Amino acid sequence: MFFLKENYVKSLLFFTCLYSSAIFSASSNNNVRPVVSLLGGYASMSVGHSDQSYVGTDDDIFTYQNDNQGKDSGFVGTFIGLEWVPATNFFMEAGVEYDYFGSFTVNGSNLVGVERATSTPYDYDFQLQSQQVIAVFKLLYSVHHIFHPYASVGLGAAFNRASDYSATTSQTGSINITPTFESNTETAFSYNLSLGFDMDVASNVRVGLAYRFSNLGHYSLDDGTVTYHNYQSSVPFTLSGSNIYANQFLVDINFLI
Amino acid sequence: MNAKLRFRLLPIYRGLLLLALVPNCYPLSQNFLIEPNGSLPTSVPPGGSVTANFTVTNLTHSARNGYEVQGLPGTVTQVTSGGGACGDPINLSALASCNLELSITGAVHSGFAICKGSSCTTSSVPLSVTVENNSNFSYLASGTYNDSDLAFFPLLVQNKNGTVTYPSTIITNLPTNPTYSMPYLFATSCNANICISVGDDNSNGINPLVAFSGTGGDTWTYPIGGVGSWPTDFNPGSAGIFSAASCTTNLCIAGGTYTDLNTAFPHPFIAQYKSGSWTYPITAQNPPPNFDIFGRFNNVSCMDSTCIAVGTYQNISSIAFPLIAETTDGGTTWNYVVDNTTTLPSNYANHGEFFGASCFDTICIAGGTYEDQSFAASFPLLAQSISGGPWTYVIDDATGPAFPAIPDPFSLTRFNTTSCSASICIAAGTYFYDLTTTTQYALLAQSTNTGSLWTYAISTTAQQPSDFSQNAQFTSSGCTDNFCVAVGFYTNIDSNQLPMIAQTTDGGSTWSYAIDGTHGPQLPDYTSSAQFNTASCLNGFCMAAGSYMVGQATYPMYAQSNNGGSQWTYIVTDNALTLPSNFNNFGVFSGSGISGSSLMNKIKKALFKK
Repeated sequence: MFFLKENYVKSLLFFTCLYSSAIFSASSNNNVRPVVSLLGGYASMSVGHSDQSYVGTDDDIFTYQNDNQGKDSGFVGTFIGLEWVPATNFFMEAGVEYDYFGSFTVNGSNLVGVERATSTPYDYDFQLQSQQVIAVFKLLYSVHHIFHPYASVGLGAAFNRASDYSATTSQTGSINITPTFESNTETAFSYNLSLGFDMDVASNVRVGLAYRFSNLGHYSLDDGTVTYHNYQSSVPFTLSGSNIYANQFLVDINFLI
Repeated sequence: MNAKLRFRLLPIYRGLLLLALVPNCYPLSQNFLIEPNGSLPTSVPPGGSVTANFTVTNLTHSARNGYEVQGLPGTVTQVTSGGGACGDPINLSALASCNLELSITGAVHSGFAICKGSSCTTSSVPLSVTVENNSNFSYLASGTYNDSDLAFFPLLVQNKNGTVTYPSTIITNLPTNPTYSMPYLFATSCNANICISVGDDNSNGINPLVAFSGTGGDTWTYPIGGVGSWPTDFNPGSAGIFSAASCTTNLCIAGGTYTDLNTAFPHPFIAQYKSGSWTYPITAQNPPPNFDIFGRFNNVSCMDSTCIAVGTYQNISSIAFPLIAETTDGGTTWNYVVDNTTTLPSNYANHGEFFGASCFDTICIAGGTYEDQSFAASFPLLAQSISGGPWTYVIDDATGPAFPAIPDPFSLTRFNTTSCSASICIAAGTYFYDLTTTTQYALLAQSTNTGSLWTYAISTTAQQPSDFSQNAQFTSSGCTDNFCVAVGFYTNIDSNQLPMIAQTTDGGSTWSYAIDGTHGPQLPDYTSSAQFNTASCLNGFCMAAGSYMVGQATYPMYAQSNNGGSQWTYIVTDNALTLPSNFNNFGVFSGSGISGSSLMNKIKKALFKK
């Protein structure tokens, strides 16, 4: 299943590149103008709600429940594409966008024990940081020639790095030991949906504001190990999630060449 | 990731778990509770070992099997012997407990966990043990010596921080003028800074003598030795001698024999130091049952509130029986627990006698000899009592290990000495091959499981010193954890009597000779008649002392190992710098002890036979 998804994402990347090549080859048409945009802004990052349980050695049960509250972060990106006019008062832009999201903390609760009454509670956290490359299609409308409300959609791939896992417990005395996990980068399918408007500030420059929703896809830490001094034992699972969400408010500046 | 492992829990149980994940409702628990069982050690002597005990309780409602101790350095090993001890691996049924015993031989500052794969639970507290500085210990050896006027003095050497001294008060406080007496300190014992050295003083008869030190051997007084200090029925000018001493916390005892005024027979007797004063809990007023003619205590041993005194006595039929008197309440009451009314070996006839005694933790043992009806064969005799239970014979003609080298009947076979530590008990002595030869072999039996099984570790020709010829005998012994020594002498193939120290440093798995004709340091200027008479061990240190001849002079000699048996060094020899300033040409060490330990002193004394 996982490998199917990987292949799917790679295929999407391939088609994104193909799509970009097609667009730039079309720029020989006089009605088509290249566009370069810089964008950035606030992002509220979160992961999908998750509670997971795994069985380790000797029926030891490891249960994880995350906190899916949004965490403040930010992002920057750049878009390179083409713009053309398919109809009166409508513009269309298509191109490739790269976005870099600031890291945020995923935290949650963890129980370790054979039975509930013999379990040790932990608080865990780790860092998530995403980048994405997507093919973007943007449809703009002109109002009074200078205001351009738009909607856009993007499809592509995200590179989600999970790192710096740690777990702590307030329990003292004898405790059941919980595993730690190594850092890992997952490649995942991602998409964007956004609504906003651009405004002409010069003959070839627009600035804009927008709201954008992104689903950056799957993330996962790497191998888990129970470690006590020089003793190590791997666990047959790792900590992962299906979705990273980003609710963004962005500003952009677009250069028409 | 193995997706098959996900969400394998029953829905109801998962629901419970999720309920538990509500903030502030977390349980605080663990699969195993691993708590100290008693106080944990904080220090270990160099070359020695200490024990830490933890109670491991399975808190789950199902069996947990196959767990192992993890996370500890090589200085810590798990001990799996003993009742209730955790095995390796640890297997516990639901809600069951076991005692996890850890033997620590070096510094450790670490917690530990018991683990099976990814299921690990830590100890509630870590181990924090440092290696002790033994510089505050005093090593004492006692005996007698003469000066150029041929006056005899009590000989008592103190080795403190490597400096050898002879405390002056052991002579200046003598109750009698040494010019006209022959004081002899046969045995010495210490607990912390309390030491006693006991013997006799041959002045107008042989009088019992006890020297006392409350300063770890620095200064001495004589609470027993002057008129009025002996039992009220003692007959000065007859004979009284203390031949053994042992001290435990707030209690010291000296055992021997004396002749009373009423019967004029030698009786076993005990002097006891408790709460700052000396008393005689056993005298001629409370002799063993059916006592007649003769009795004596040859050895004593104390541990915590238990003391035993072992020896022999004759009944009215002139049959000598093995004898053990015991107190289990710190000397308040004494009882005879082995005498002619208790069970004897099946072929017992006469001349039963104990020479060695040792108590450690829950075990007491006594070693000696007896004869069968032929009155020609003597057999090794070893009795033991576990946890204050009845005394039983674990080695006699019908019980215990078979001699691998010698057929019955034995001749003049006996255990002279016994010693116990937490890891091992030993009984050592000698035997003759048979009645027609004069070859005498060193003999050593051991138990590494608190008396459950006894085996001979030294008995065959191959187990004697490599240059052994004849006349080998262990006279004394000492144990400290896995380090045990048995000391004595033997005659080599050149017909020289040499000192010998057999030792184990691994709790009895292997024995070797640390000192003999081909091992260890050799005595300077040796010419003949060397022998160790006494050994003491404490906190990883062992000492052995005796005498040897250089020409016509007899010198005291004393050897010591400060590193668990790796190396032995002679501290006192014929070197004048190591002898009393007025030493002339005769000196012998017969007893030894070690003071200054903050731990319970568990020293074993041996009887020296003049």
